[in-house]
Amino acid sequence: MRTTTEHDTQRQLGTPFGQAFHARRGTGEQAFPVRLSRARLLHLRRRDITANWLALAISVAFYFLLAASPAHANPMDGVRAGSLLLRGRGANVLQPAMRVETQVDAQVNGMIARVTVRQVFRNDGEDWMDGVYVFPLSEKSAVDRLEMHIGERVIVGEIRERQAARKVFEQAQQAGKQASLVEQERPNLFTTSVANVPPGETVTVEIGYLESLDYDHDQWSLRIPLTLTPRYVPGGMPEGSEAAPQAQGFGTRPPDGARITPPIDPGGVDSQRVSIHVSVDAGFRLATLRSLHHPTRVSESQAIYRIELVEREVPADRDFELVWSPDVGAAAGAALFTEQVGAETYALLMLVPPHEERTVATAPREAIYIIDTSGSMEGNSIRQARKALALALGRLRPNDLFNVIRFSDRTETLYVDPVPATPGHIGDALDFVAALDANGGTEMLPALQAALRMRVSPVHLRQIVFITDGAVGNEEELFKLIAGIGSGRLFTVGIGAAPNGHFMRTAAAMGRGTFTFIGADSDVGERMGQLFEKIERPALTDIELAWPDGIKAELSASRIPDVYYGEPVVLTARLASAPLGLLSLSGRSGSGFWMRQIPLASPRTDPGVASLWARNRIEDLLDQRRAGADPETIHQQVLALALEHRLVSPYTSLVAVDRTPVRPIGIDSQMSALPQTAPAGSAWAGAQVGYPATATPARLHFLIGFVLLLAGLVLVPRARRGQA
Amino acid sequence: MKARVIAACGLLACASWQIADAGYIHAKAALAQVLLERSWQRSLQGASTPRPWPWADTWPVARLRVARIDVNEIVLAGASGRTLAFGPAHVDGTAMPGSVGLSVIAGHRDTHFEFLRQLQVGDELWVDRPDGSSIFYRVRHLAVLDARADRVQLDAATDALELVTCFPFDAIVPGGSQRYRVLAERVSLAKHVFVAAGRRVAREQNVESKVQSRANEVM
Repeated sequence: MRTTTEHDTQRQLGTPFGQAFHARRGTGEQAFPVRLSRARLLHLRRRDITANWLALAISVAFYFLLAASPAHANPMDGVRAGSLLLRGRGANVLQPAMRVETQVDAQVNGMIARVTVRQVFRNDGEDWMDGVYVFPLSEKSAVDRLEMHIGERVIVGEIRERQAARKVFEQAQQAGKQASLVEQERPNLFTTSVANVPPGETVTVEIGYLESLDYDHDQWSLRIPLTLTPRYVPGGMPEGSEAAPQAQGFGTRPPDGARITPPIDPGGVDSQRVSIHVSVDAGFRLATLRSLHHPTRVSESQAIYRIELVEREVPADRDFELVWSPDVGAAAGAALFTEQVGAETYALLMLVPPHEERTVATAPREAIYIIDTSGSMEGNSIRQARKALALALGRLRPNDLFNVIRFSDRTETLYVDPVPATPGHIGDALDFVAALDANGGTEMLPALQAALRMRVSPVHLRQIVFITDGAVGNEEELFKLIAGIGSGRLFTVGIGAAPNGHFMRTAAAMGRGTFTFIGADSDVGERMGQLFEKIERPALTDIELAWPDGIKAELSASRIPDVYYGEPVVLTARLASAPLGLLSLSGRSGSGFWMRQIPLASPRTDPGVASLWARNRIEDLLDQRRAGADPETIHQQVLALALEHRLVSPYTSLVAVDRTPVRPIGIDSQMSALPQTAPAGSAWAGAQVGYPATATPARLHFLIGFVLLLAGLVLVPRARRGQA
Repeated sequence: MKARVIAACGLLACASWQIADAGYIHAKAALAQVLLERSWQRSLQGASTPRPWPWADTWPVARLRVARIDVNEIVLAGASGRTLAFGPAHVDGTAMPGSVGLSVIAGHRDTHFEFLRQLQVGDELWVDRPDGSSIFYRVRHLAVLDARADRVQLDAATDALELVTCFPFDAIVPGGSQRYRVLAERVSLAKHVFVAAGRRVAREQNVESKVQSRANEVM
């Protein structure tokens, strides 16, 4: 961010428009002055007074146009967007005296990655320092390890209830002991606090987490987020009614909370740097292995691949993403990983619906699009929604059924019941969609009721896509209604930072669909296109599990979601007894009923499965709280699970404290918020809320009117003369 | 010659239409504030979403005041294009003024938020909430942003208020990507020693209004 001094800025602000105009006249805008002088000449010949007056008036009009329009002479020319023009007292940019170096070491084993993030805090200053570092981790990470390295010594962190951990940390800070604390702020955003780093020395904090890998279209991927980008925030948006616990995380900060919001380092030589090592032991040979955003070097021995960056360190301004695919013939079908903890066995199951299933046409769908056309959608939102809907309609196949419902304070359905997607119907629907305009209030209930009242086809998979940007007042009624959705699926799309995003998420979970959050209205078309593309190819729906007799299993998720083309079924479960026998998994695919049996016995034990199960279970519990479960009960359950499995959660933190004080009494330590590097090619954004458009066309209309008026007035005297 | 008369009349008609259209935008902006005043009073009496007119998609959520330049406007819920025609609006997803976090209010640069160009660092803003309380802010900095790249930074842990409008103020054609942002930070009256002293004096004299003027003087 470029800053100018107060003095400069005031001078810039004070530049009269006139000067700017005169300074500009001779340069770029040749067309206007030329036309202007020709007009002036013509009129001079006819009637001097009119001409002079007209020329003056037009000059005045153009003067305004030139002086004021953004592309022309404005006094802020040369000021880059994002520049800080004035700086008040107390708003100084923090100059951190501490630096963080990050080393990431990831070990991939099958479908589990164990990642260690080493943060080396180096104090270059002359004071004792405390530091707070905000950093992103994968949204699916189960953080379970903290180690503090001071010289040769290693202090292992303990899991504590969040407040207790903070208290322990603060006491150590006051007592002059070295300490570190890892807290979860959002599902994907964590902070490390370190206390009492001696001048000129370093403290290393090692954070370990587990993650199950993504598998999509025969490709595995590992993503290591390195910088805070808008992409990672939507899941944890601070939403009015979802205040606890993520949003409260910020509330529990020390009073100097503002200083903890990470200052952004614009990049360059001094920016945060990171080194990355990954080893992949997939259990089979790989056909491809590549890093998407960084140049890497790969070495292989006995099907274990080692990946390191070509440059030893890179600026942390983009995420590291590694994708690989198995050699031909080794495409994943089903995989079972287990871990024995005490008497219990934890299992992680991944199953890809086999190839032949995919080539068969997917099940015919019945798509009902419900679109909010209330006044708040006006402008870009409705334009983009129209475009996305038209796209979705165009992709329907002839054996699909569809319908479109629009609602504001009135509900209007295109057809009484869903109709086949024939070219005629599609044409009508496209006309209907093209004519959608945004006006009126937001009444969602009648629209959902209308959708659920429609005749249900026995052979089609019903998918309701609900698109809105509005507030929901009557959640309870809506939930009751959605509970009766039966075999249908509900996909919710929230546009803008709808304050009730949690309603949308819960509704989608109840309706076994997904929630798509679109923060900036410029993204509406693209994101909805992705959603439509995905949901038109369901691979396996209504998935059910049958455990062998005598095995009691607790799944981490309360509902098994549908699987779309290219995706696997991934389940984690806790088994009360040793796994034996056959697990059968069944569902509905394009060609009908589909079933597969998997032997439960696993030849090896995979550390980390238990943690992953607990992490998924915690996520499911937190979702239940959003759906209206008693917050206190959920809190207790999450706390118990997190403490048992040593996981960082909204209610638990890891804390490590050295035993002996090192900072001499009487010397204070300073606070430092450590910067994050801005993502490459984008301004840093903490969350995805766009700025609205805030100009009216009043001036434009006025100017056009004024010019027309002048032209008319010129014609009037001439007309009169012509008649005389 | 008749053609000329018709052309002249046509031009004049178009001219008045355009000018009337411009006038309508301003008239609507001014008139709506009057209507909003009524529903603001209803929300002060406890109505949760008092719609100013039955088909409205918005309702008043706050009142914004700047004493120095005599600004007094009702802020609406949801900064959509439709709502902004009637008044400045609170951007959904940002905190409400007075609760923890960053709160953002947007307004049209040529109607309700024209006054932003007059604001200076150090200016005092008051935001009245429907519950009757008022929050005191002080302008900290002024900046020009690009709406294509910049996003509201909700992670700010401060109690701050952003007033946002289109930039430049005098542009003729709407739809530019630049935004002018006024960032104001909440000033806690209670923490200020002078105010505390003033408050004690006021309590003794039982004149509560003096506290406010004292606070204004001090800050």
